[in-house]
Amino acid sequence: MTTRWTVFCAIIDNFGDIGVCWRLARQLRQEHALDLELWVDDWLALSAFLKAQLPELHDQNGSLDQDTLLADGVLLRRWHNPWQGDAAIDDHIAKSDVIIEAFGCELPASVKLALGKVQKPVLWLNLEYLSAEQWVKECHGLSSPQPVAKQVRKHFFFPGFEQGTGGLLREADILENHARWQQHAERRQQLLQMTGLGAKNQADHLLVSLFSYDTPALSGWLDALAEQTQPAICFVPEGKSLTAVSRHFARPELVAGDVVSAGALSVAVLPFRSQNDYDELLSLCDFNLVRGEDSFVRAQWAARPFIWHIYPQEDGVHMLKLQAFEHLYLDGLETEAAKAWRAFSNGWNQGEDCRELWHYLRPQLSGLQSHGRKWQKKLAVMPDLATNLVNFETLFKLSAHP
Amino acid sequence: MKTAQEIKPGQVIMIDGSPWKVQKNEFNRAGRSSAINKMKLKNILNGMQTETTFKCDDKLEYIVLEQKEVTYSYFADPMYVFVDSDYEQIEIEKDDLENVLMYIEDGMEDVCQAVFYNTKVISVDLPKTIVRQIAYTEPSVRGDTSGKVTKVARLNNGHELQVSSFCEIGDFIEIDTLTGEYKARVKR
Repeated sequence: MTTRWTVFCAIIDNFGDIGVCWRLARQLRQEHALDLELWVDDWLALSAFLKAQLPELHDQNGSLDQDTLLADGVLLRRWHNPWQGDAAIDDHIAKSDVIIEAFGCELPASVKLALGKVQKPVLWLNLEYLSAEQWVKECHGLSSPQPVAKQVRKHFFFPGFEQGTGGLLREADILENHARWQQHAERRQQLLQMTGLGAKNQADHLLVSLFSYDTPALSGWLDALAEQTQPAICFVPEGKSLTAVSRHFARPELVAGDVVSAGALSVAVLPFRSQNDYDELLSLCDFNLVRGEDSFVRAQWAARPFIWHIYPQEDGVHMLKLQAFEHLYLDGLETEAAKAWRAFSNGWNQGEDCRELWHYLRPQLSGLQSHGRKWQKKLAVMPDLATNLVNFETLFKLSAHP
Repeated sequence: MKTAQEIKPGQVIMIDGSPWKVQKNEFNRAGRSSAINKMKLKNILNGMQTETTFKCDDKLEYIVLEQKEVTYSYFADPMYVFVDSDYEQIEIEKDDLENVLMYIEDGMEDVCQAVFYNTKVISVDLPKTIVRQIAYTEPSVRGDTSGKVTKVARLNNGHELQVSSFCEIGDFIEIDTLTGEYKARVKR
């Protein structure tokens, strides 16, 4: 009998939550042959997110007009707020083999009640945020008693960069895909042609991608790209980064297809990309600015030099998380490159002027490129997040039925 | 009910109808606004220990326990012996003193609070501020009287902590037992 997993995803802002949940659900379905239900609370955001990768799911108006959809083998279900499940739906969910609350979202109360009545052991997981902090290893996998019923335990599952954590999302073919994309120079040319920038010979151009939160740090970096001798092309997928880019170029708005230039820099605005297309973009660029969790992890599989714009938290807690990652990531990197990377990373994340910091970082890109490959290999030795989740369920079943 | 974040070491929470004493409660910030509490728990009835996690705003049932003033008397391996005002002896295991063990020393006169669950003592709380003597520390740095520069000092029971650099061997110092930090040098 196929194992049935149910994932709950609450979209807070941006597409990070759904990006991670969708990747995970699809991978569990495709690589582990699990029955997958993904409940999503923001149908509009889901629609926008899926438009680039599964346009056939949308009606003539570009909307998802049904509350239940089958996409890539994953059953997508609309999570109404307030919850509109009846007893049969609650019971159906509660009888899953595994229930995941992604990023600490809360199961509907009636589903919890139904969980308390189920006779079989159900693995209830709180899939937490990615962090490189050391306490993550100490909390990973621990159970959490819940006032639902005596036999019901929730477990906290932490993604991470080290053994002893839940690992990172990594599809079986992603490293092969990156190797393929990076082997063929014509892929870069195709990318440039798509933006209308492919007429000239741009083999010597520096290609960069930008997918960050709105930050005052951006302006200085764009100035630095414009004033350097090597021509640069900056690809900006539609999203939050565009606000600061538009401001920098004194444009009321920039939309997909726009190209703006200053000095040696051209900025090309790309339409919102499918996850696969975004992976390819990361692979083809010489430097990537990424944010949050999903694109941050993807940049590490692309093994190109990158800077992480971490999600800002209250009290500057995010800077501790950034330092924890730096501590792991920069280990083994030559000193000058590490200093330049750290300086730019801190400057970017604190909204400082990054003009001079880029000129300091720029000569280090080839060293960072080699380091990125080593880092990718180091990470790839560990089991991926989906496999770790499946293994965790196996152990859970064994402990429930020794 | 209290949230997981509000629970303090020494307090007792009910899980599945059993009383569990919180021996440690560590708070960690996860992503966005979420936070995690990792607790080390000991089942008061059977002594079983476990580690567990909660979201910081998870509601937990906790129970208020009887307390009694006691003073430390002596160590009779593996039990620490305290006496109450009626000179009645109260024995407690090392594990149950985890948060205060570093301040226990022969001859201490602090009035402590023994905490009971169904007549069994489950923990001892020290006063918020205690005074201890420095058994050893490196010589003082000349000229620094600001207290901002610190160095390591060892207490009579071997516990080490950071103190102001002007502190010397034999000095008495105040310690905050909740944070474990040095507060000030005092005269005795």
